[in-house]
Amino acid sequence: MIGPVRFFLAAGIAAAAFANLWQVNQTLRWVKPREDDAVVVLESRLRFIRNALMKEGYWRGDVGYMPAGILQGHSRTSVDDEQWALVRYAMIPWNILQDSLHAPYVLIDGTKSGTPIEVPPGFVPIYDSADGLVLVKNKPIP
Amino acid sequence: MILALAGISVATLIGYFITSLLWPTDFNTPCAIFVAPAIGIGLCSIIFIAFRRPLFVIEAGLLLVLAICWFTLKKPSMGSLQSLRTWRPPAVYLLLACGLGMAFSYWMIRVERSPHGDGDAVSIWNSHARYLYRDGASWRKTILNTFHPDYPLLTAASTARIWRYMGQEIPDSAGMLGVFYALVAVGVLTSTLAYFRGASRAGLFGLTLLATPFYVDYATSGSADVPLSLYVLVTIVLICLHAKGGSESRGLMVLAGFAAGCAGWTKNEGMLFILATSLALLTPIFRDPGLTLRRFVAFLAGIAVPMGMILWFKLAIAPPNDIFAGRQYSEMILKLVDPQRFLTVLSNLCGQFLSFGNWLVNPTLFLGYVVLVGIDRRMLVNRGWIHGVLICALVLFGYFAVYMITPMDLQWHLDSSLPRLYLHVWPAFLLLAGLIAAEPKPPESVN
Repeated sequence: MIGPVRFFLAAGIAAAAFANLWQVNQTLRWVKPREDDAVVVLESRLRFIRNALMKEGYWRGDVGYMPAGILQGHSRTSVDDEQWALVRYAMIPWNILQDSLHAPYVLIDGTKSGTPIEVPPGFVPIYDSADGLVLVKNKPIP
Repeated sequence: MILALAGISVATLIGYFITSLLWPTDFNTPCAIFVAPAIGIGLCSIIFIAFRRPLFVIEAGLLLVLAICWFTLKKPSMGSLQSLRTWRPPAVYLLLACGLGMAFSYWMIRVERSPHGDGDAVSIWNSHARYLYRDGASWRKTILNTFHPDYPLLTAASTARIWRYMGQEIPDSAGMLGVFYALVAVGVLTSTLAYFRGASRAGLFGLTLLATPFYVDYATSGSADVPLSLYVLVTIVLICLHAKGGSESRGLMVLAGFAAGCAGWTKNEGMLFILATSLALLTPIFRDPGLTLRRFVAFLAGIAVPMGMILWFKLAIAPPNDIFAGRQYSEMILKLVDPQRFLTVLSNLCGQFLSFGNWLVNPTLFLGYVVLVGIDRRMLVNRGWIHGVLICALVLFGYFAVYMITPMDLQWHLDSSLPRLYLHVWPAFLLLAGLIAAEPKPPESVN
């Protein structure tokens, strides 16, 4: 008696396994294509910022990161936090300082807020992506 | 792609030569083949961190020396290859192959679409890998600019090592390595159960691991949880095999020590695993001190190299861990004796055990299988099995204690990490469950 029950139970385990694998494959419907992946998109956008920094001869060190909204006095949002974490990853080996203007170069990010970008006093723009990213350089005090 | 495969093959070959040299003669060769990649990747990640620039020279030299030792000491013959030709895979492995095909199709698409992995991979593991790859020798200072710079480096170093082999930074590498770890874990589980319990049991339990949606998905995440689960499984497998092999198989304990060390080199939770394994191995010390100490010395010999790396990393580079830094004993003790926290942690631990895998059909059926076929009473006195259970129990107890004292919001901490912690012991749990279930005709291999 136990033999057939064992067989059916084993068949049940196998069937459950394939149902689970089928379900895993179904979840792919909700995974965005590579070209829409947030990190992939940001990496390709920031490529020009990295190139601009290298052209300046600034290969590593601190880079300020300032969301355009915060620059205009709004408080930081969770979207700003997430964006900073992604920018931090994409810009390695530069050290991206959150909400900071205290660095030789500062990246002003208006991609998430849609706020128009204003270059803060004491900085000169060295690269403008025209879609919300502006890299500015700290102007040395004469 | 070919260069990435070359990097993985070199690590696997190094692992195979070491495993084979320490493996007892005529002792379950398929299992050695699946253990080898775990050992090789662990060792190569240590070589990458320790030597950095002359990586290829060191690995080529090591491979050459090991190959010479292997050919000289093992004297491989063509007979083993001929036995491969006569091997016919059991029918149940067809099911496993179908499962592998389904999982593989998921893995390939998932990695292609999300090449940078999940949030943890982006902020921690791949960030570490990028500093190791992009920042030369100054990574020791700049890695502090990432989230959780105190996390050990096996996963990050393995990814950066593959980038070195490829000569460029391909973000998909971390996900592909994760798939490799998962495949190795399925191989280790299946080959070990096939050795101890036969092909049907092995195929069924291997398929159960492979069909755990959370495990399959997390393999591509680029995080270190699946690699850690592999090292936990490999350590327990080696301890079980050593228990069968007796005193002649001390090499297996050396390998178990190395695998446990790699667990600690993979994640901070691995340090708890090392502690749990050490305690479990030392439990028979009052009954048989001489033998227990000899076993433990072999374990320590294996763990020495990865433990040296961990200590160097923790003392010279990593900042204090966020759970324990700046804590006061009085505050932790207050949390430990808080009955409300105790109930919250306990109810979450019990509640999530049956749901952490994100199953469509929960595999509790397999527990029914274990109950139905009965318990093999010989396993209840088998040293390897008892050690495995004790290790898993101690690890879970350790996780429980950490939740009790966590400085973070308890519910948030439980929700964000508990399923991953269950993942660490899930393959080992399947192994132990597969071993305890009785067979109608017990095979020769079980003591």
